Amino acid sequence: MSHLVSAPLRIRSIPDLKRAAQALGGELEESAVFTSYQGERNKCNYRIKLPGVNYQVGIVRDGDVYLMQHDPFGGDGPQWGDNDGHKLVAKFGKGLSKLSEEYTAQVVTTQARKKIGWTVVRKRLKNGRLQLRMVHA
Amino acid sequence: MKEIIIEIGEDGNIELRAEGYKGKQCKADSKDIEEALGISDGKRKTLPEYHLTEVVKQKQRA
Repeated sequence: MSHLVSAPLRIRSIPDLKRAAQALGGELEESAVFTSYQGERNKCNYRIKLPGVNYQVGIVRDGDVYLMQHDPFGGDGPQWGDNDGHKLVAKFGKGLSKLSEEYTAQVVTTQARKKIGWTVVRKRLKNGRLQLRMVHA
Repeated sequence: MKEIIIEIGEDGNIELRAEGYKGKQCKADSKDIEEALGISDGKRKTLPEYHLTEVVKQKQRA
């Protein structure tokens, strides 16, 4: 049985994804498999682990980009067993939205550093969207 | 002051716009970011200021 969900974001930079995972307390590593429902092992190229969490995020190559997959299934209490996909959701957001945001922020920051005189300012808007302002001094 | 503003929605949708520009320099400044984020030409919208330089040149010729 599989509950795998793909995040809509397409990953083009593994180094930026690695920094995003670290910023949220995770660790990205090369791996051929990632773990989901009842220890199921799924194919991937990289995975993101969280300390003390059984489920992992799989980074799967799709042409010239990567997709992020995870299993959100799980909950607190003995009835859930080792199924703790909810902990991925708590840390990385529903549909990996927080991880996607952080990845985008890392990409923008990396690109800004390549340019002379640009800085990046982050702001959370009232509508919940994350705003990154690249400002040229 | 030149600014490139990127907004990210919870659905993963990314919007990018440039402020403080006149003419096509904004496209050059945002090109690397658009490519890194995978924003396609089809999603780009240009403001009236984008065409300002060309309009001025056309008037000078007339």
